[in-house]
Amino acid sequence: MELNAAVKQDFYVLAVTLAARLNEILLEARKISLEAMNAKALVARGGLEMRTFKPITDYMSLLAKETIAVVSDINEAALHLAHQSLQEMRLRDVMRQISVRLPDIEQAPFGQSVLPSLDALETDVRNQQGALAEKIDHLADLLGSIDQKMRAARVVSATARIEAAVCGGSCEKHFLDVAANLETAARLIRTRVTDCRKQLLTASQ
Amino acid sequence: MMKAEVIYSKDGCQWLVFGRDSHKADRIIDTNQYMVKVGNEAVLLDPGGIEIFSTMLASVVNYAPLDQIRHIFASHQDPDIISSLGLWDRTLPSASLYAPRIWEGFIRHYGCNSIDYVALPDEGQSLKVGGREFVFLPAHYLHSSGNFHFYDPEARLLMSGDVGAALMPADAPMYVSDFDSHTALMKGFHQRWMPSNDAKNDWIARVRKLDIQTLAPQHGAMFRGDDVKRFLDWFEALEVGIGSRSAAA
Repeated sequence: MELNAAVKQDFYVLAVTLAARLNEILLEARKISLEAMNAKALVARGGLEMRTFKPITDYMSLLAKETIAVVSDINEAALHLAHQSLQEMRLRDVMRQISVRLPDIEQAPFGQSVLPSLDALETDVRNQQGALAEKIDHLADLLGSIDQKMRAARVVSATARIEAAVCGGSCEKHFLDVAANLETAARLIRTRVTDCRKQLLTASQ
Repeated sequence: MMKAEVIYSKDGCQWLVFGRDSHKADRIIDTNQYMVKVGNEAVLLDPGGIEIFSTMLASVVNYAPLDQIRHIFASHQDPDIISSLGLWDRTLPSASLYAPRIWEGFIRHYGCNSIDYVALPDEGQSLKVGGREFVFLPAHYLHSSGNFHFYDPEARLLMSGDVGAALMPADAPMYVSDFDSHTALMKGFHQRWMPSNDAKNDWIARVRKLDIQTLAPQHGAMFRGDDVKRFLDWFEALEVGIGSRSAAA
């Protein structure tokens, strides 16, 4: 009998850590949403003069909304990952427990009767590890999609600065502030996402 | 290693006790696990905690192949009784677990996906194993609110869970040899862990009607012959449920 129970990082711990990080991302995304609402109010007050700013505020709102939705998806994916990880850990624990006494079991008159359970366990562990890998990839993809959105946010922020200069007057400062705040939030979110991705990568290696 | 001893063997029925595990961590209470084998069918009684699973598995396969262990009995919900369930669940996927009805939602927390949970009704029931009939005897509030013992009328053997338990060293004998001195090892345990004098007396009245040659508790040493009656007399005279006094002090 041979056991192949590779000890891997338990992802349920990681999932909890990710959930805490995601909360920070959520707060920043809500700030973008609030910033977009303020900017929309400015655009509404500015009338025709500021109409070119409207697509920017609309896009900011959409960006915030989509980011919040993805965070919710990531939360769910992290929860699934935690469950999957616990199941996989339990299976490995059974294998570990059996392996501790494997020499004694093998020498026992009915020791061979453990073999079918052991084979089934090994298959189940492999399947669980495959499912775990799929969930990790899915989580990485979701984090990647937030990263892409934040890159887009930086482009929007640059566009907002140009539009602010075009609008000029008293609104210029307001719109420059909106652009700066958007950029700050996007940078913070990207930092958090990068941390999460690094943790995920480290854990899965 | 864990000691294993045949405590009854007749007409194709064999009772075994597994205990006195020398590998066990010091801070874990020592437990007796039992197995009844009738022909090609076996029952594991209070198979124990996670910590002793591997030792138990290695011991059990000395006496029966895993596919013959089709029944598991958990007298109540305690971790030293059945926290290994999640591990047995992976090694005995076709087995049935007989455990108190009221504890099902709790015991399942140990992991019970493949094993079939048979919820024992409060009034108890019987179990046929290899053509031989056994009884799940109600022992509620001794100490758990949903609690059963396992009686073999033919072997005249009662597996009595925590009733009759004593805290003893790992090298202690499997049977009580000096009843009077043994009571000192049982007294504190029973007074503190058994909550109800009414439940205790009700159980004693029912058990006195049974023919019992061996009383096999889940901790400590087993009682044989006249020591069974001595134990019942001693237990009847003992006031239990004294824990609340320390709170009132």
